[in-house]
Amino acid sequence: MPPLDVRSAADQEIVALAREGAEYAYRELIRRYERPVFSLIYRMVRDRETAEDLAQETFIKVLNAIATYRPEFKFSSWVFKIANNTAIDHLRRRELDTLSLDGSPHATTPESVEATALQIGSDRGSPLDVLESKELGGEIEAAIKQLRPEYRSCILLRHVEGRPYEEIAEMLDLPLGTVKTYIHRARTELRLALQHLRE
Amino acid sequence: MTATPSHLSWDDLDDLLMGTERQAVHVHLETCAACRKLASLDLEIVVQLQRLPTLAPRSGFADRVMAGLATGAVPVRAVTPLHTSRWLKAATVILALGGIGTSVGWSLANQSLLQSWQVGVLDALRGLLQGGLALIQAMPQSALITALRDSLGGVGVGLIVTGVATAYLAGMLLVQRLMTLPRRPVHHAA
Repeated sequence: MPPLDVRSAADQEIVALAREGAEYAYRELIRRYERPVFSLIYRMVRDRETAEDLAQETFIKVLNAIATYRPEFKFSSWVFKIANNTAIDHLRRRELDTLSLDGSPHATTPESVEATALQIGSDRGSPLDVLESKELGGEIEAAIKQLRPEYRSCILLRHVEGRPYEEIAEMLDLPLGTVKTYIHRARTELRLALQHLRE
Repeated sequence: MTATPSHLSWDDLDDLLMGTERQAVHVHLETCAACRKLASLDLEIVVQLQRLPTLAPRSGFADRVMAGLATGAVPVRAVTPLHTSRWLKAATVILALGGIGTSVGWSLANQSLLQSWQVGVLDALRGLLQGGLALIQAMPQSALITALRDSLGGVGVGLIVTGVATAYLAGMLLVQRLMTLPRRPVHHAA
């Protein structure tokens, strides 16, 4: 039976319990990070089924290696590092198509197309606002997909996950200057995509 | 990189997006339409990125991960691997130091016994060598032996015998090593 306050415990406390093999600690770590890890991987590989497999692989790697985790580093950084490496390894193994706003290129039935299509946009505002928001959000999503994997990782970790530059450099084993360069170049490419929309 | 008289640098734009107030940047933006447009677009990008929805895997994701763990090499209730056990490492070091200490102490306390052993071993080796030489000398005076003796001399023949004996002993040790079962368990890959 897990302790009642497991959800309010810090990551390090949960990791300590996981190291002792407590299943509820494993599940709590998965609960905390499944969405951000899946989101990052999904936006990297652009296919839901693949993203689920890779996210699952990420957590299996994390939990299998939990004994080697060093507490002086942030647990979230460690998890995202493994997730990013897993996604990058997959991208390097396979060439992916660039379009999947309308569903995975591998989807063959209407149900699978809908299941793999990105759902974006807001339910609020006028229909025109919704359409504009969807279009803009769609442009951003489409533009992200056009970025090089390294740029994509950096921009997603910076502005979607809100990680500071130093943490991203640590996660990706890159110099701080390289991370800043990648993010600036990514923003430049996204800017070009937005400019096209506004003209 | 710092702001040039012409346009803002990447670092300047970063400061702007982070909300860091810098007078020089704001003054420049008041006069440069190109940088204002750039800053506006960057801000739009950041806002849109921050608004991207957090996606979720299909329900039951945790169960699938746990199932994947269970079928893997490491069980859910993982036991700390022996090679990372601090207690085992400490015990090994203590035993090793204890063994070395005991050996050194015993040797110092039994020097006379060790010396007698040393003499005995040397005598045995000397006896073996002399026996070998006597055996060679007692061998029939065949043409081959005569030719070898003549060409190599007594010392040369002795060296050959020693080399053959050493090779024989080394071979016996190697066979014994190969025949001995491993003492530590072999970890098989999953």
